[in-house]
Amino acid sequence: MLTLTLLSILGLVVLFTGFANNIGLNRILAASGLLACLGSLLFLPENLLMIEGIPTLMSFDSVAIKFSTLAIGLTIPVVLFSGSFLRQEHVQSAEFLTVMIFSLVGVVMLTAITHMLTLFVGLETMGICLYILAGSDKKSSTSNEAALKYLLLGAFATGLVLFGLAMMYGATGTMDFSQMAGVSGQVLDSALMKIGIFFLVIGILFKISAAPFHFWAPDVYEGSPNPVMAYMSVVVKIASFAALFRIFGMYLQPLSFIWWDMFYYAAIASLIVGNGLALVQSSIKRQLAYSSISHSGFLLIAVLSLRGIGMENGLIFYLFIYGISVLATFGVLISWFGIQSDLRLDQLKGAAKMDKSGAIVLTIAFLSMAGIPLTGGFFAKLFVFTPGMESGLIQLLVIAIVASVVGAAYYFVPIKNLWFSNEKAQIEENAPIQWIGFIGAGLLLLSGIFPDLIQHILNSL
Amino acid sequence: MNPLYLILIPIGASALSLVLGKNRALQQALAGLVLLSTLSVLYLAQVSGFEHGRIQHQWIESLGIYFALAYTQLNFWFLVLTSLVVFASQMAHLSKDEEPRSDVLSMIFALQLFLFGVFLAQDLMLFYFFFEASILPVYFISSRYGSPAAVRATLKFFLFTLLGSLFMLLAILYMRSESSSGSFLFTSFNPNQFSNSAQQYLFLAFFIAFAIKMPLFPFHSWQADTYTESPVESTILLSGILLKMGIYGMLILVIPMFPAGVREWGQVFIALSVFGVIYGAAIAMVQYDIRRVLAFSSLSHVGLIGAGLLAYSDVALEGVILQMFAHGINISGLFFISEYLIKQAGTRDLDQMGGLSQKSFSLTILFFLFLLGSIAIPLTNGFPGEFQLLMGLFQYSPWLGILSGLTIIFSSVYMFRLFQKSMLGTLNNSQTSAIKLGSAESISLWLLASLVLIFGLFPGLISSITKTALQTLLIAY
Repeated sequence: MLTLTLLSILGLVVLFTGFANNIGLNRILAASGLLACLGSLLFLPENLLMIEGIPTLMSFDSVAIKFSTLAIGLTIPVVLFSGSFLRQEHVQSAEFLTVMIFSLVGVVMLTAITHMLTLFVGLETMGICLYILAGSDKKSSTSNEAALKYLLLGAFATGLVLFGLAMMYGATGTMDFSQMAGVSGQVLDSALMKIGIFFLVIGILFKISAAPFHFWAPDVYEGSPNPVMAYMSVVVKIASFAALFRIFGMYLQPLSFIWWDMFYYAAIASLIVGNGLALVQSSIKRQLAYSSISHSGFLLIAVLSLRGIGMENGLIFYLFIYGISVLATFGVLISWFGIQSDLRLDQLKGAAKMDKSGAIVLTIAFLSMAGIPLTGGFFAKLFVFTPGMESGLIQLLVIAIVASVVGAAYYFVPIKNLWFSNEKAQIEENAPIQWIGFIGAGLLLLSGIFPDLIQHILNSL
Repeated sequence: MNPLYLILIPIGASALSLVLGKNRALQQALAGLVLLSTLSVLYLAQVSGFEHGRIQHQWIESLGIYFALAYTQLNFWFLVLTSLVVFASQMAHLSKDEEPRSDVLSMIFALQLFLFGVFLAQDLMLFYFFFEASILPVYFISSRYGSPAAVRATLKFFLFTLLGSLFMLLAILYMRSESSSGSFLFTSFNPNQFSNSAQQYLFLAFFIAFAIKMPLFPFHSWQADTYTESPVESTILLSGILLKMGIYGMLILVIPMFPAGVREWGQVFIALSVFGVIYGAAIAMVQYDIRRVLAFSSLSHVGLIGAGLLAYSDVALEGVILQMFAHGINISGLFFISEYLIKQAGTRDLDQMGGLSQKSFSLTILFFLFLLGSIAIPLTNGFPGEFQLLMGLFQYSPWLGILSGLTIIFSSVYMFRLFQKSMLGTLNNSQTSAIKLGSAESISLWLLASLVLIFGLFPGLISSITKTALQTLLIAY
């Protein structure tokens, strides 16, 4: 609750400093404010501002704190490398940062939901801000297209969630997820409840961009400005999986007989569609978008394994590694290509000759996403596969294995272009923003060799 | 002797070689120093008894993965071979005309670390970790410094091995979920733990992963292109030591743990491997690319090892160890020397070579020695291993034994053809300069060549260490 309040205040403060028209000030303020929020989340009691006796519809338990720490922590690099984008004349830096911080309010809320109301408010606070962010490059028609597409499809998904929630309320008579599983078995087995969960699941699958509800992701990711795409593919994924975990992993776990199959087939579809289509892309951002779809498939394996603590640890570790890999990738890409939004895989050709350190960072990030040992990505997959195997999901894991090999095939396209081409790349060298990439690559190697250390830190949050 | 010493040497060397940069003499000294120090650590480990060389620390608590390393009777000769082949590969890189590249040398040492890890690991997941990591250095060396076609070939190699090893990962996870101990330590698994049908699947998963690495017959399609297009240092690594990981995995995992799988599938895969022996030899006989001849000869030799592995006889298993050691030395030497021939003739085409023996007498002798070892002439290192393998196969099935015995004839055909076309005859081009063999290179080549004779005369050096361990592998049969 404290963090939510602080974040909202931070958003307003950043909005008002917009008068000064100083981009550097705005970014420093936003980044240090986020750091302060992170500090309060970790070191101050979360119920500091809660008034006793009034239900808050949220629970800032350890799960909420872990997910929101990840979300806020990984937003800070996005703020830091949005500089080149914000320096464009037609972009309002204060508005951009404010909207991002406000969307983070929705994100933090989603990590702590116990109730339908907060789920809906959280989804919408996050979603509406994202529609604006996607279109923040006002002069670019692709950015506008992305915003409109996201708005229309997002609104549709919200409608489905709302419809599902209404059905569930109709069946159980309660809006509190934590009480739902306690309702008598007959009600839970009713058609009303099943339809309700059906639509809720579809809405959530849309948010995590899992197939077959993934169609928006490649277009929106490609059209959005680079920092926004990084934000969407990392932070929004964390928030959506936090909500998914809270609802289905914690409160509705006894009802897994209703929702399990849907996630199962969505996981298979995501693995196949994500990896299959990523293989034929020529744009870096579209490839990353499809890889994001396939990572949703891998993350769903953790959810499907239905092993409480293992599921939670697996999800958090995977999201952490995935987030770091994406952010390291964008750190280098933005330092090389700046505000260029249309990035082709061909543009990477020969880049290693121009900037070796950046190429090494990108290589480590791609290896990590492919799940090759020595990088954290290997253990991320291992922490997801192990509970999956213990739950006997062998067929799903076989599909995931084949998907990983296909994944390696397309992650090696950029690696190949970087190192083994004789062409000359058109890149800016050594922009200062690259150190985000270095830190990210360092973390990926560290978690690839001492995963226990990282996991202990993440678990002790 | 703590196995960590062996791990630390290549880590230090890898960092040091980056610092030394383009200084050829110092890099050669470093490679020699690493060879000496790793071999002396291994010698001390053997003298002080393998049972003292064991460490075990918790690595990943939540999954029960241990950082467990140990010297054993089985991995000893694999470790020795790793040191030798890595040394040969470093020397091959340093013998090139262009300036030495510190990134390549550093990556070769990194590979040495991973290989030591694979052979020393006593935890299944640690084994897998090193097993998969070991593809990376070779991938980067081959793609970056190979011919333009190498990029495609090595990616194929990478994806093939990844596919195989990921199914192995699945099998490893399955084994843990079925075992009560909740750890991946080798000691927590035993042969009779898995049902017969589970053993079949586990056997296939492990076998195919290792068979792709070796490669055995139907899984070999990546091999020839990768061996041909890679730069010589990574060809030496691929043929000399990387494929030994597959053999080692078969020895310590497939044979002892899945006896039911070996019984069920053994016949099929032995037949395929024996076919691979003849197939590889037949193709090697008609190739005109010197590298391809050697690549297919390797396929043929490894096919025999693969067949011997599955024949569950201790004679054959002893042959496997002898032959894998001999093959590692011979093929490294052959690829090393062939690089000089290619450089001198300016082509890999055997038809355009010829008469190269006039250029360097010592190189001719060296080449002939490795060649004899490869053909398995008595008194060379290839003979005892091949003889035992054939004997084991003959006991398993006389027909298969006879068929694979053809390898003796075939290998002399393609090897002598190779020698004749490259070394004998008249010089095709009018180059007058003799082949320059630097002192460091000739020392390293003579070192390897002397091993051809030493282990040909005293194969007991190898088998005395492995004998008892090999018998325990076959307890379940």
